[in-house]
Amino acid sequence: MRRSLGDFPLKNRHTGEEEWATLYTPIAENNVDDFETRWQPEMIAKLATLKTHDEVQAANLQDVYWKWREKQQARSNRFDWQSFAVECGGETQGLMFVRTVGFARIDSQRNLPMIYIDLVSSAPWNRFGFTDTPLYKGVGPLLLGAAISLSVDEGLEGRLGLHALPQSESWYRNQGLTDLGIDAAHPEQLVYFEITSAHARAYVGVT
Amino acid sequence: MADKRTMTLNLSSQEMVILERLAGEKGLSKTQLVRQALRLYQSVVERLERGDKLFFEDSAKSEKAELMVL
Repeated sequence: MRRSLGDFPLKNRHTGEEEWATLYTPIAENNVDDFETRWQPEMIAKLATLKTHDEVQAANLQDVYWKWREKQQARSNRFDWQSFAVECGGETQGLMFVRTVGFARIDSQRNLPMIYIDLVSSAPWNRFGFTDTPLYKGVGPLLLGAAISLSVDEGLEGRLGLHALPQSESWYRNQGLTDLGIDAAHPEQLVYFEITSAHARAYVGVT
Repeated sequence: MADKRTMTLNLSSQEMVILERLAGEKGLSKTQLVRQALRLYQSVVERLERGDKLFFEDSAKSEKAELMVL
């Protein structure tokens, strides 16, 4: 059964005002419905207008076919997975799956247990690249903070890792994650990022 | 995890030594380590039930050795 982890402010870029979003765990039926009926049609419609690979990359659409419903159903009774959804303005604004079993790679924390972010997305209308006028600012930091908080709560000291889609690499660097370079073992050769315990605790304001 | 229940776990002295050592090395309490172990076990079992195999890879030699789970 899903529960609220609290209300957090997002900035509505159109009005300049703060709006309150609710962070839930786990992802629920209404969240995957929103992905299929709201996010995906807009992403597919946008994809249909793009001609070149560079345009597709720039439009920030690499997650258009992610299987949120299939994963939500397969992972719902598994302790090695947790999921989160952000709702604001009456609909889903962000989704995330994390794996609760992982082992760190940065030398200072090598082989210590950590959380691994498997999938994370903000609704397409919130993304630069997809639109020149994104709606909500703050969904990404809210979800990253939720993953770090989970890591702290589990005794993993805030440690987490992830493989970033190309359009997200600079964002993760700006959030203070360490870039460990392209992971040759990853099927899509994505760059692997990790956050140290010290950075993670500073990110969520834990002393 | 909203509800928690308490159980008593009987371990041999040697198992307790291993549990305490691993917990210390990983910076976890014994309960946290057992929780992590349970998740890892569930993850392995689920993949095996799907017909997947679990390998460790020697990163220096790029050789894989299958982990046999009975």
